[in-house]
Amino acid sequence: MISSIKKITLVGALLLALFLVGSTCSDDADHEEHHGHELHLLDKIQQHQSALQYDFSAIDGIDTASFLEVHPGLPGVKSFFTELRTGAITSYPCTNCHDQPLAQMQAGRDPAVRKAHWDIYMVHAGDQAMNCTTCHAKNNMNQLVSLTGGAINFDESFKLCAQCHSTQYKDWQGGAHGKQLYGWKPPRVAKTCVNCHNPHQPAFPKRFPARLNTNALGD
Amino acid sequence: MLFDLLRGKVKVNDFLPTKSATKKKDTCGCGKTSGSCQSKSKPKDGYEQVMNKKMNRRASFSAITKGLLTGAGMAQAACSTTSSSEDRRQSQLKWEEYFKKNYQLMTPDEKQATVERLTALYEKRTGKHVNIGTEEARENVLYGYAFNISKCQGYMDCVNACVEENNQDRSTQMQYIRIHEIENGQLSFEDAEDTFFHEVPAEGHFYMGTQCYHCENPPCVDVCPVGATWQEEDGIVVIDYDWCIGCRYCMAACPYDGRRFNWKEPEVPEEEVNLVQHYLGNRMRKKGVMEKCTFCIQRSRNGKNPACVEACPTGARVFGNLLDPDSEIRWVLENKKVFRLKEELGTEPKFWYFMD
Repeated sequence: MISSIKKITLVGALLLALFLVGSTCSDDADHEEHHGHELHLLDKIQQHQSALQYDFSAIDGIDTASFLEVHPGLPGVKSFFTELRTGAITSYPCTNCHDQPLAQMQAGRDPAVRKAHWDIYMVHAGDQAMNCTTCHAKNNMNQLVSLTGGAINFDESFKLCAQCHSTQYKDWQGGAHGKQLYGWKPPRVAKTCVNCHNPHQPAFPKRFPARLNTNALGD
Repeated sequence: MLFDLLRGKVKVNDFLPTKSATKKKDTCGCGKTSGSCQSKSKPKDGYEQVMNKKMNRRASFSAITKGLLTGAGMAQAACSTTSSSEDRRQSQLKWEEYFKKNYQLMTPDEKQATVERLTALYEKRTGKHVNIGTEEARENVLYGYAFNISKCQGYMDCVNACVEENNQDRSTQMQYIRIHEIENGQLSFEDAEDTFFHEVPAEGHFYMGTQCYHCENPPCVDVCPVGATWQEEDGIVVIDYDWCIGCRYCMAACPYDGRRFNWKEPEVPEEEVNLVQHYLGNRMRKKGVMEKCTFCIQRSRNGKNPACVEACPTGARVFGNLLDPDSEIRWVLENKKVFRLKEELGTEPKFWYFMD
């Protein structure tokens, strides 16, 4: 009786030892596999350096002809599209109203003229740095003007912003700033600066969230 | 009868004669010939209670008869000549739905068939046509996501868009996305404010959104005992809602609070149901199954951005193909300082955070 118990214990111990050896081995294997896998994601990503051709059709309704093509000056960044502005500005072209020199219009007594642009006030960099004519061309109302006096089209207003906001401009061209439109697949279309930021008050105002954050009420 | 077996109304052992009925008790493993080797008063529970139910011949015959009658009832409903053909068709559909395969094992024809059944059943119930897609992963596509914590202002528009897009339960306020309001100078989710409702952004705080990260090594997939959740070729971790048994192992295994459970039958007002659906995405779920973010599979596989990306008014959310060197997500990863949560776990989330 006693010897049989001993035998059983011995066999049990052997089995246990085998099991432990087996499990540590497989643990190691698992670990290596995981380690291999860890590199895998970045490898997988970095492997792909050549441009992709997508075989599924473009998203319906995108006609790139109605966008402006932007050619970034960043290494390795291909051209992309942004929205045109001139068609979206209600009172463009400005010369519809601005048919006289500015000083003359300001001095005039026409109430409609005096009330014009009543809703525009500047909260942008402070008046030491900026006033209307920092961006708007004094002598050609249909154009914007660069810091050195060069003409900039309203459609390319991002070039104006880029003069000071060079970091944001770089991020926008690369894709880290701004908003992707229509989807993740080419053609790449991004919102232009002034379609999110009011150029006269570029900071986003505070507001209430769209909903109560009821995080975790459900579970 | 088979139906009842699977439903758990009748147990396998109900049909098998128990030990006591077939074998005369002589000696037990402990050597005693009388009494019990276990404490007498121990109540049966769990497995024991279900599978080791003592039963005499009479009771087992009665159970078998009961099962037979129920099975016959089911069969009769499906083949009856007295019930209307419409009802018959519906019970037939339900029957086939009940015994369908795991989505991963289905052939394209079988996928088509289950979609047709689901569509027909939904149409019968609501009179509306639902479009359930089965688009496969595209070649050379691996989805990735980047979240700009300098940009997020806590507006919560993403959460609203997600709930509407993905037909989430309105009554328990199921939300895949969490927006955490964190005080500047720390990065602690324990101290984060998760139930804010005041003007945002709050002074001295930043906002961080979390959701399913679609890990490259997803622990949730490893623990699923029934293979109801898996990673697709394009990296999206999905759930077969009809295969999930609701054990919530995946919920426990996820280190990122990415998974949600339907504690009750989900309720979505009929007029708010998004009828553009995907089998593995926003189709209607039921009580007792898991769900989570699928990168809006019904949108992303058609080239669109997930609803949260589209809704974000600040541009804090960047989505795209990690395998495309010209994608915005790739530029972010290669040119910004990015980080991921709990990298030391080796889960490899495909969801990065970055700052301006």
